[in-house]
Amino acid sequence: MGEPKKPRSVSRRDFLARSARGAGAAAALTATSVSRAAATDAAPNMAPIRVADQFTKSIGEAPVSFDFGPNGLTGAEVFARVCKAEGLAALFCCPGNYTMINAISATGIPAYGGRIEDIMCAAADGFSRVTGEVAATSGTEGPGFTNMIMSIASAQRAHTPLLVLASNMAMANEDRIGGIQQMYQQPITEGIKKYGKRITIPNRIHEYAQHAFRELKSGVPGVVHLDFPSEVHGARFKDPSELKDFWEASKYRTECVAHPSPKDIAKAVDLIQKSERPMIVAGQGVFLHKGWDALKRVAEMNDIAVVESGPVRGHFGDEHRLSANLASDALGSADLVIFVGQYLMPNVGEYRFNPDVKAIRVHPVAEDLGRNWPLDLGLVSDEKAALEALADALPKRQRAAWVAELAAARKKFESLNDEYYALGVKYSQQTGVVHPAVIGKVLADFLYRGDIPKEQTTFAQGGWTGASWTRRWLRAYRPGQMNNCPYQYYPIGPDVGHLLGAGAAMQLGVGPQKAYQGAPVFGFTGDAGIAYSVMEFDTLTKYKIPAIMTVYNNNAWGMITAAQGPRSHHMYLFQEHLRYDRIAEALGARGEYVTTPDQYKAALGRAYQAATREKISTLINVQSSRDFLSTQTFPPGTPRNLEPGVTAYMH
Amino acid sequence: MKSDETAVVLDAFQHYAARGSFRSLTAVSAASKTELRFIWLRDVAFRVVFDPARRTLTFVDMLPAIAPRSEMDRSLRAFVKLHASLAVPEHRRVDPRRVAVKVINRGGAASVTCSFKTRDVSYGVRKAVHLAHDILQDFLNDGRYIHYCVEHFNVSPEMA
Ligand SMILES: Cc1ncc(C[n+]2csc(CCOP(=O)(O)OP(=O)(O)O)c2C)c(N)n1
Ligand SMILES: [Mg+2]
Repeated sequence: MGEPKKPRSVSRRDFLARSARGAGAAAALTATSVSRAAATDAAPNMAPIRVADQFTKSIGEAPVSFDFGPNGLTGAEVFARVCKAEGLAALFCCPGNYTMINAISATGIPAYGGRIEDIMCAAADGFSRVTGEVAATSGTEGPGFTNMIMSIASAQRAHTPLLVLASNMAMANEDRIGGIQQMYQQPITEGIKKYGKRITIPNRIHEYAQHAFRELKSGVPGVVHLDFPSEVHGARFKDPSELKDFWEASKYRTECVAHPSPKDIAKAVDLIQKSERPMIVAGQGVFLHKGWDALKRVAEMNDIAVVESGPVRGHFGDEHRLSANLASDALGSADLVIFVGQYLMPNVGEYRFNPDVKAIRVHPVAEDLGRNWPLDLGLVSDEKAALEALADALPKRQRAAWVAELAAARKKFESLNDEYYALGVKYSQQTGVVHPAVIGKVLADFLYRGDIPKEQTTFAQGGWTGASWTRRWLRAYRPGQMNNCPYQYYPIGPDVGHLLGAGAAMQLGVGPQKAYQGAPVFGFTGDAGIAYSVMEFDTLTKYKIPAIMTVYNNNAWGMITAAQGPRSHHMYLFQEHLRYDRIAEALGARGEYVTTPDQYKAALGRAYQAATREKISTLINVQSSRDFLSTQTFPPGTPRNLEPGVTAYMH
Repeated sequence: MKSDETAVVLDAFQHYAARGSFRSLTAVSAASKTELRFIWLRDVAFRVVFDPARRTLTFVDMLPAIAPRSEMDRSLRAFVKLHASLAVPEHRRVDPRRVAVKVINRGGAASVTCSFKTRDVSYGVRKAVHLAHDILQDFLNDGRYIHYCVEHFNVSPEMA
């Protein structure tokens, strides 16, 4: 095959003509615009956006297994071998740390190369959150690594088992500022990792690989950050005897977990039986340790309400008659709360329980029991083990009044949603742009009440003020369906990364996503947010991951509510009617620009068709207005959130 | 000497301190009244006065800066009334036969007073604390009052 035709450089006249078309569309606020850059904008002799043949060839190459042959193995290969044996589920990276990412990908571990280290780190986090599996991320030593910090911190706050690998420079140059990119990394992840180590002695690479997976797969997970100077990853080992602690997984790690003592279970049963209105807070540990069936058994055995918490939702689901995810009003009625797998404890008062509520907490390790919330009983146990023991020990009991109260509270929440939607429709008509309540309702109708099975779509829920609306409508019906992307740390922006991670999980059919393998993923973000991660539409398109991202475009940072006094507002504003959809088009994906609820509905339909039929992603730019933030002009401004439940994001 | 009723009130407040709700709880008796001071929720200082002679427990100036007869003042009264009605489940209700609740707005600060009979002191104190908690957690958790909460209840402007 010959060289592709050289793209014609864009002339000034072309550029102006195109800009004028953009401006025209932006000015006509009722316009819908749909296009793919390759199809509509390309001049006849301009090379189309396309995936390189080399990309397709490379991704189709057979994996290799790293066994000690005549050439031995490098440090990077030894490390990659452990990753493969441990079932590392995926790697999301940008080039840098070359020998390491090459070796990991060579083993056949699914690897995705993207555009921005921080966003690829968020993709690894997003992948892990919806699968429960360990994922890795990597970037080059200095600048690539420092670019990743926001998403490393966010992953740690979400207790994601994330392996951060980032380095390639020589220790020989340390303190000499020789060459480029030198960075002593470990102090920079202080406070945002579970475990970290700069590996300096080459023959200890296997030993530290083992330790990394011990940390990633035991107790309460978190970020593990390893850095490998070139003396380590480039070292060559003739045979295993040259490596320290070259043991198989069964020798260096145990699958054994803590089980509750029968005495503690008896105490828990006693507290539950004395309670009139018990409620389980099912945190991410229930998901990570696959306790969802046991959770259902416990709840149904004794009519115990369940509210979900943590960065990922769906392990109990919003639909169950005992679900309190929408039952905000009933939270304050619980007289006993049972925290299970709540890895990040709220302070008293942050969760909407009453001041007399009694508390039991089940946690995999003892060190955190009693933190932030005084306990009536603390149980050291794996979540699934504790729930199974409880299900076996609890008597059957019906709590009709409590179940009725939960149902009434859910109904009240939905009625308030109906009121908000009616307001949203009115406000949209008044202004000619889309109110965020309408975005929430239209999305939910499309995902849960249309042609798609409601359990199908995994969602990456980002954004800020817009999210306070959409969270009220978006649902989770099965484990791993909803990723609350900014959970706790609240970084604005890496949402396309989370979408990419969820999309990769769907593409590969990992963990609970297996049943919906190949289905498109959906996401939501703000207009400040999209700027951080929109470039990964290239990555989505390149890897044929079908994803649909709604951008709530209110022409401002949502924190414009904090702009006070003279000369403040300009810092919070963007140009109006910016065409984020066109950026997606320019990256080979689809873009839609909509200004009415009906246009948005239709755009979702077209995006879904393109996603399922052609594996093409779409960015839907929903024009809105920052005026909707006003509590006076458009009450209620932004609805308030309450924790735990669907509107939560802090713990 | 403290009255039996005062002792019941003090016990109840100490119970909430032990449960992690009230911090830095202090009790000062002056004349026959007892004043309790404590820090609650997002590090907000509260003052509660128990008058054993009238068996009233008052959250003094609980919500500052509310103009009398303003929308917020009216909504607060409606919220309190609702919590004494059949509209809320029994365990969330302040039984009006046992506890009378009054909102008093003096100089633009709303105090909430609960009065009860001798045999209902324990119930009355618990209900008063729960009602105050409901006001702070539910009544104020409304888009309309977010700037008010930033100003007076240590809600971070990040949340506004
Ligand atoms: C990286 C980062 N920068 C700044 C903030 C502070 N912040 C919180 S929300 C927000 C506004 C986000 O605006 P946008 O994404 O447009 O969402 P909107 O509220 O408009 O829906 C800002 C600046 C943050 N949380 N993270
Ligand atoms: Mg915005």
